[in-house]
Amino acid sequence: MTTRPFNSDHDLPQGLTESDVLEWVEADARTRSAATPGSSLHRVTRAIASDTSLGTMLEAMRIDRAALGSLETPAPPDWVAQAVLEEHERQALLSLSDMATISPRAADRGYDDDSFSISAMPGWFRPAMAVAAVLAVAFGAWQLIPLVLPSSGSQRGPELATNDPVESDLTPVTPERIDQEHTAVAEAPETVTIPAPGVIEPSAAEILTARLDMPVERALELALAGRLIVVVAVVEADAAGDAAEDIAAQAVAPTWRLEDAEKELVAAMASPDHARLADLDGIGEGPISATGHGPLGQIEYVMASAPTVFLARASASPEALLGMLDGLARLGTEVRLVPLDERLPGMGEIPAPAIESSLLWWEGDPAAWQPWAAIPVRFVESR
Amino acid sequence: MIDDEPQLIERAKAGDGAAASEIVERYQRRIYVLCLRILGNPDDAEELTQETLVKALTGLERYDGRAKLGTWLHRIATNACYTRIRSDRVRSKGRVPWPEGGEPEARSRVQRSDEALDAGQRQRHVAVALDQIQPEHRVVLVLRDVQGLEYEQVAEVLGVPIGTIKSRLFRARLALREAIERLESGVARSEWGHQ
Repeated sequence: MTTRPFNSDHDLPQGLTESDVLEWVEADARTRSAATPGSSLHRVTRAIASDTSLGTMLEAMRIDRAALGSLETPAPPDWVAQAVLEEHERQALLSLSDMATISPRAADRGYDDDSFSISAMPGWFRPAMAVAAVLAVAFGAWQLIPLVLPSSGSQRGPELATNDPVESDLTPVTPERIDQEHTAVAEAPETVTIPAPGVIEPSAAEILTARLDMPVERALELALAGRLIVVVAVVEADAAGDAAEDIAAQAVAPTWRLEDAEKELVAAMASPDHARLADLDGIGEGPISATGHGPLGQIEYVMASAPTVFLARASASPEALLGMLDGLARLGTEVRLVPLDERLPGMGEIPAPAIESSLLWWEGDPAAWQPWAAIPVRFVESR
Repeated sequence: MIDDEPQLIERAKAGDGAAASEIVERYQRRIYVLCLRILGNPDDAEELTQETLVKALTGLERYDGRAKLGTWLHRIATNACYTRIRSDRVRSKGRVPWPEGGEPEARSRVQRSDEALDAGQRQRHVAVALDQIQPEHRVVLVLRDVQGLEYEQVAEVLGVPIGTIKSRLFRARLALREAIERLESGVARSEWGHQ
């Protein structure tokens, strides 16, 4: 059934609109035949009578619609519902409802044999967990007594380095690692600071803000202008890349997300200038060099290593930017903000995406949503 | 089974696992079909169905009841699909397997006659053509024709006025028709090539 092409109202017979045509296509035969004179259905029916190609087209559309409506509607595999309820239960247990987590993708795991569920555990497990939790809390409190009470004679200072044997026994610090089984973002900053008694502990955002190279407002301004790069120093780029892939695969927060960078961006970031920019204070990959023998003697090849680059999209607010930097900081040992002299193509202000964060933005005109910023994120291995 | 949906939602909000399970049971198929028809890939559809329902249950506190729960879930799922399509564009993942029976061209070499297409063939053509049109067109066709949403619901899901939906739907129907015609003319060409 070949129909003539037409693409807009201009191609419809005079007096007919797209809405009229849609109504005719979607109406059943009885409704069409009962159309009252002057109604849109009647107008379309009359137009068809004098334009057979239009009639052929609309009849084909009607059949297409019926075919779409009769496509099979398979049910998802059983594991989907099971995985949903387990994940929901897990999140409820972890009280992470305000911040989505990174978890292994259900499709990869299958959820058949090793899935975790409190309700699926044997009856003795819950009391055992409760006892373990109480013991853990008691042990933690016992550990803190010398720190909280100076009169106890403790010589321990307010800051515990990660290589402290006691601390490292309790909290293995692997910032770039993602717990593959159940949890989300790998824990642990490089050092754990215990505030002195009576001192108000700064919030995570305040700590992060203090560590940044520039005020967050300035960073936001640069981000919106497409002149900001985030450099994350990591212990191992491959592991951090995998963790970033996990973040990219699942939205970790409603105000920011990580995506694979397009090849143009990766290519731009592979330039020697960008490699130098990322190489701050001893972090960074540095160039790869190799030697070989050619007809004119020994030659040396020097090239920039392929950068591990992702594209971050974040809502253009200081809070969202800090949230993103905090999330990225958990993947590595250090986060740096690098200003650029010139705008990177494709970076900077972008419209608010229509993403699942509509959970938060159900209300209001999408046009009024806060703009977002596209920011390159580069992972570099610490030397 | 709880018939009253507002009551079901309130119970799920209060942490009633049976109510959460009922919501999943009630909507998983529709959400899966939505994702399957938009993405064309069963693995992605399973994953996004799971993601949608987890997000919905986790974010149920934010559901204000102004839209139907089903519409709200469609919105979350559609947005998740858009995000996936955008990232797939970068990753160039494999697309839809051909519907049952293989490529229409291949089947047509032995089966096609000059008579009108039978219902099965038409379904296959429409499924393949659906995957060939722009995501924006595909989504509106799936919401309206496959999922059977009213115009008001489609507008709520996509967050645009009804007038825009109608205009987009009209163009989507044209695009689908052209894609089907391309398929059918491809069928004809391949037949001629074999004669």
